[in-house]
Amino acid sequence: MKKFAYFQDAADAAGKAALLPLDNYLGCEPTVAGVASFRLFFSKVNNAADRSQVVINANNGRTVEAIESVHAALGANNKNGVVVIGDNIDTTFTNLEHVASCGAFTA
Amino acid sequence: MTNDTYLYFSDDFTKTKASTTTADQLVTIADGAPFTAMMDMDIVEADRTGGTGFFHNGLVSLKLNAAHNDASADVHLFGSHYGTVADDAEVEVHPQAATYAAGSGDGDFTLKTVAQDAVYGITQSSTAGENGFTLTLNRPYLNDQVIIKPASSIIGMQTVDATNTKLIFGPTTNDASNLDTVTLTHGSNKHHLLVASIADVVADPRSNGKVVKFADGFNEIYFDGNPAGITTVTLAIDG
Repeated sequence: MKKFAYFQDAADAAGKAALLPLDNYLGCEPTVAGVASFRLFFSKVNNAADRSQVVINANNGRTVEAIESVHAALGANNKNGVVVIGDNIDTTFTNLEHVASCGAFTA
Repeated sequence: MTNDTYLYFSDDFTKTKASTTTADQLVTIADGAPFTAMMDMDIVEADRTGGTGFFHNGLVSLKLNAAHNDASADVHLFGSHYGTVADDAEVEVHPQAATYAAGSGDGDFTLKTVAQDAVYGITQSSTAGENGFTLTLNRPYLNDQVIIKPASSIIGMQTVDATNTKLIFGPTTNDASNLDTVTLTHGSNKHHLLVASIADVVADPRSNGKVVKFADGFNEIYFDGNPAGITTVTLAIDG
């Protein structure tokens, strides 16, 4: 069974949410500046030799801890194969530990 | 169900940077390794007193290099938290002593004076040269300092010379002809031990779905007791 990661950074609109297969996961590193965010990279959703990326905002100064929290979730054996990493509009959803919010998705 | 193994690598860069020296309660750290881009989030008064923000969260620690406390006219003054401070002693600044604001090309911690905070405050010396501080990074926070790569993205491993081995991964950019590499410096002719360790991680089903700190150079933590004697971790991430 394939696994997917789900991200939603704002109200329903084009390009604001993504469901990406973990088979296409390329890696992760902190953002270029700041103390509170990192990027998850996936193969480009249009199948070009490029990448798509999702910014995840960590609680202040907790970037490494949030990275570990997200990867623990990616590796968990959940029932339906969809791992919700960040969802800013579902008020009943609690983001992962040390994850403050889901940032921009760049297709 | 697909469960990859996530390999964690961090660089072993220098963790400290000296401040400029002024006599205005400011502790200014200019951009520069390891703070290539100083933190861009402010610590306001409510964070300082409420225990929030990256200073309280332990991302950094701040130290006064040498207390000036020789009974002269330009001594430092310390809040009660610091007890009796000897002349020339190092002093760890409590996170509740400072606010922070991102600057342009630097970051400014502003220390509370003892008059403003009798417990955690530090009043700087009136002689600028006595106010040297060192900021220490306690966890990686910027790009090129840490990377996580799925084990499935390993393309190969290659010896560089007797003491260096390069781990080669598919690039985070997914560009057709680029790579991410992690070069590990290790004991002479220990390549076979390094390769065996990687194979152990990747082949062990207990690693599936986990983050494995294979070479955490920042904290000098290495997988399996570091049989290859890794001493240096160098990241080259395709940006």
